[in-house]
Amino acid sequence: MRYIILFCWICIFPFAGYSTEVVAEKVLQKADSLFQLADYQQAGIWYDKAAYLSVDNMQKTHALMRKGDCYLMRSNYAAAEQCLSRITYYGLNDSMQYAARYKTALSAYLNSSFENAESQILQLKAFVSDTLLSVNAYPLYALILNESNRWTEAKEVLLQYISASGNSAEQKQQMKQEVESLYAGSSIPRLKDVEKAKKLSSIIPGTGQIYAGYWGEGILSVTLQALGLGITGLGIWKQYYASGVLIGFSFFQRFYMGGITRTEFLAQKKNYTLKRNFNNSRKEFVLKLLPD
Amino acid sequence: MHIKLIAAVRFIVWFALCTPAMAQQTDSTKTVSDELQFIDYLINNREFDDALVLLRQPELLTKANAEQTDSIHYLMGWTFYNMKQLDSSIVYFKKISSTSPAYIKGSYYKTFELLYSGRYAEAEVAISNLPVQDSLQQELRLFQQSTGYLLQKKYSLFDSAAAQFTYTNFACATEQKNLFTYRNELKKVKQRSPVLAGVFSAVLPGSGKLYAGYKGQAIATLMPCVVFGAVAVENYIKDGPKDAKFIAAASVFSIFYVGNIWGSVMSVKTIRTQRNNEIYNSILLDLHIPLRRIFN
Repeated sequence: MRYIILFCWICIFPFAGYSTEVVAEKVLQKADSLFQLADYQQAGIWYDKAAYLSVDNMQKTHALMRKGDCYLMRSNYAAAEQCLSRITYYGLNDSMQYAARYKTALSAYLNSSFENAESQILQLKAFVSDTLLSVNAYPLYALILNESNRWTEAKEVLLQYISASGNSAEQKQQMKQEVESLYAGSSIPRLKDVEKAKKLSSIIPGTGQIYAGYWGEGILSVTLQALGLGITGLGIWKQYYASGVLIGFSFFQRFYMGGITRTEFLAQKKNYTLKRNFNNSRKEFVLKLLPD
Repeated sequence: MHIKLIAAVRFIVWFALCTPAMAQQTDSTKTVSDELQFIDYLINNREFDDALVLLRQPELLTKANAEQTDSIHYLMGWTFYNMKQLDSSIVYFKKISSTSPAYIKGSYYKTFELLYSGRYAEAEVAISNLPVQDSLQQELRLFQQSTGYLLQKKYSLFDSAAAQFTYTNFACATEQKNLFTYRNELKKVKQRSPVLAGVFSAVLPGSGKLYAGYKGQAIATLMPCVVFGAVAVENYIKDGPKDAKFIAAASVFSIFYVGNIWGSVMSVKTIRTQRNNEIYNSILLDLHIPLRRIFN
């Protein structure tokens, strides 16, 4: 009898763990079925329940990643990033670590948290020892670098990705040429120096706006400031000193100071437009490279 | 030997029947207490929307016993508190019964939320009903009460309540001392006269703003009055009172002049409110810190 009881107690231990895992597995199945029905909020709750019940970190990570998917499907990128930040990477194998870090980087990118997105990619490169796996993250890395205006680095990353891809030599050559032309020195945006634009406007009114690419606004600014000075001169000439100096000069001074502020805004607007046009057109190409 | 064998067989049969039941615990996870533990986990992971979805399940309340109902109310209040929806949080904290273990935390947080929301009359009632089980809670209660008086600028009541501070507990001793600093700062906020500010600005445009405490704005107000005043005077001297240039300049000057007086009158109240709000924000921040130290 003593031995039978001992045998039974020995048997309890594997079952104790097994029971929790089985429950977590069933909860995951329920979550999957809700996800299939596009009920992403309920699916997310059940995935979180699976993560809560899981003892195994692999299963927990899988559940949290699926919850992240639910948020991504609802276009709630901030919540996806926050949810995926709960993943602990201890004891994960290469493929799971890659998948988790990639998804976190993607959510951060979509949430415009480019620093976090880059940090996740750098950690992915450092901790995923299988380089054949980690290189798959390079197209996303290129998109992140594009948003940080580091276009030369983005080009290098894309070239590395193409070299490591399983395409034929001819296809690789063609893709590399495309990258070279897309990131050619002449096509990379030459961003305006905002401080330089402001200085120009403060030395010769209107030139800052012209430097930023807004000719019309530059000419209008210089005309209005000339008009202010004209009123001042006319006032003095006609012996209306107070009217001339105070109104005319105030008019000039307002447009002079306003012109500098406006120049700063226009230079920033121009930079934003240049960056968006370049990045959006390159994004189409990079998205084609993304692994399925 | 025969009896022992039967007992052993019985045990093995029982064990064999129970083991699958242990493995299939899916249904048992649906019990209210398990669900509440899971909701607590969601809140700790800042998944507030999901927590609310679960807490709002009608079957959760119908299945819950009295103690669990209190837990549901506490978790609702706590979720709304974390979501900074204080009015909703107060509603649920109020529903927790006095027998619940969550009652004390809920009551102190509810008082904090009432004070934070400026619902001082309700806060005073809540403070008078606060549970006090030990010296720490006594200190915390006194601290919340004093803060309430200070926020309402009831200085004599504040003084009598704050005189009872013992400063024996690190959780709120610093914040208790800080209250006296805020009291002095609130008293120092100068009670300027709006009428006097208006009179000053009528005599010298911009001086009312200077009196109120806005130094930069004083010059900005003075400049257009000087410019248009000078232009109006020049045109009056050169072309007389019927000239269009004079009428235009005098009209613009009048607008700036009247605006300068009105602005000075208003600025007295604005700067006082602004300064008071700065001090109130510091008081409310300090009101929060002991709660986090004691209950988290």
